[in-house]
Amino acid sequence: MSIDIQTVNKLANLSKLEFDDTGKEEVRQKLNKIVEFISQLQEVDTENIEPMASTVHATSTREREDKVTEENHRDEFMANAPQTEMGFFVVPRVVE
Amino acid sequence: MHPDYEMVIGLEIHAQVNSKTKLFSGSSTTFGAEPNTQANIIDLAMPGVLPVLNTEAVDAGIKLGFALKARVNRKSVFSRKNYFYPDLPKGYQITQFELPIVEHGTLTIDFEDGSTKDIGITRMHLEEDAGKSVHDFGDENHSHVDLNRAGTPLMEIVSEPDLRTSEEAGIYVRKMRAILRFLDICDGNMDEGSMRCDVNVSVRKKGVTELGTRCEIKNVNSIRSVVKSIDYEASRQIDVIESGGEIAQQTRLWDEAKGTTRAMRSKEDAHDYRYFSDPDILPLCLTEERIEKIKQAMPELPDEMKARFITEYELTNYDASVLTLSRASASYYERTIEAEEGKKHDPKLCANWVTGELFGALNKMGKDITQSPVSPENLGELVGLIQDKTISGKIAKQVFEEMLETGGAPKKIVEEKGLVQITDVSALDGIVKDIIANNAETVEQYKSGNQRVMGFFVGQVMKQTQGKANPGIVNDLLRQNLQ
Repeated sequence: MSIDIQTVNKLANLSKLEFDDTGKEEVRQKLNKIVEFISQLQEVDTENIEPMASTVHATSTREREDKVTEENHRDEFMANAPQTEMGFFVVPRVVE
Repeated sequence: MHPDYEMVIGLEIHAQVNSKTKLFSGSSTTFGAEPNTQANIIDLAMPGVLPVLNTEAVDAGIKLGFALKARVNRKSVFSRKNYFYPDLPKGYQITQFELPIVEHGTLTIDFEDGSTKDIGITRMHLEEDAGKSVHDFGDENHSHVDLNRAGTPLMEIVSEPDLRTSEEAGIYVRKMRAILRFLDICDGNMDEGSMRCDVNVSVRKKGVTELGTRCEIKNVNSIRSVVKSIDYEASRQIDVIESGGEIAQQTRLWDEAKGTTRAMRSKEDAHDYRYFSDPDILPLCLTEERIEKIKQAMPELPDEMKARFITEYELTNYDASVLTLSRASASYYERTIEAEEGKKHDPKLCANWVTGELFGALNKMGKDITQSPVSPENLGELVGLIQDKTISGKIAKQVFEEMLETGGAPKKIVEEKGLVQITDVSALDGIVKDIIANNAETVEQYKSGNQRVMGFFVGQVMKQTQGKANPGIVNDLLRQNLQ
């Protein structure tokens, strides 16, 4: 598998990143090197081996009781936001 | 619907778990709170925080698994679904992808003619909801974000493409909602968004086995819209095919006001979600002990209650399924049977009155069973009056109208209005004889074989008795006297 410019365009779009043509070529070459490196893993025989979701096998994930433990700290959170209005975070218009 | 085509429909239902807190944080999930007052550091994706799973949501998933006769996976895995949107602070949604908590279930839907159909359930997984973006508020260059809903636990229930008509889809959603409510794991309020529906529709020529290209319809927020959007979308697709075109795989948006669907995005620019298992959360492993405990505590579900009503009360399949669509209507019905101490009211007659007169009247008033002006005790008493022949069925309808208006007790209404049925044979015989004597011509018609004039005589008796004559006795007397 090798990465072409179309794939770079798609990834850039998905990641909301923008590159000029030189940048794209640079990214393409770097990504190809990464893919090549990772491809070594393909040599390992994984037949009949269960996919691993975590390196910790001993227990199940932790669970908590269904109890409200958090209070309203809206003002503190809003203090970090560039723009707010009537309790909302304000962002550039996004309509799909 | 074009007679040569059939629809193939699959549904994705998002049901909000009615837990007090979010799937991975201790923030409250109360509906309608001030914007952003129920979003904490975890929901806002502050650096360094870790999600911890809500045990209530897991239990809800196990319960639904049993109710859908599905496999409850002993091990399931939470994954990250990556996309960028302002109402998703983490830049990914935590959901279950390859290993959901529940797989391979069935939901049985009931039709009016008493028949049933099994609809396959592909899977059910747990996931967190996103926040809400408001676009029609403030100036037009900005959107406003409320993160109260971010992290709310959802159960996504995916059906097999087993539904063939919009009607079936409507029945399926109603049945699913009934099950969720019986289990008390989701309030099922579609207008508050605690139950939402995405519809997948394709069409194909009858007899064809391959599936056509499907479109997914989003933003369908009521059972009525489920039915309407499917009908619209199917005929749109048939029109495209019939005029020589091809269906493009798309996500479409239901426009409630216009009653149409419109393209939202095509498959080419569909998201690539780059799923991977979430390193912050270990796999969820369920012990046999936990599963068994939940299994033992399962409440009676609509299908089991339906089966009990059929055997215990000898109801038809359909009546039983209608009565068991909500716990409230089932218990209302059972209370009409047991309304009077030491007396059991005819279960079939009670069922007729509840599903017929009462549901009809409530529907007209736009009320549900919990708001009924007629109490189950009073309706049971009314059935009792018909049963012991104090009043006729016809008079009962008159009494029922009065009960709807005043909420009064039927015995009192019958007494006050003098509506007690006349069962005195000799009194009725006198009236019958009079009528026969005064209508010689019609009697001749009857004797020469025109049985239909019987209705005229019955009508005359009822007129004279203001409808209070016992119809059975009147019929017998007329037949005897006309011999």
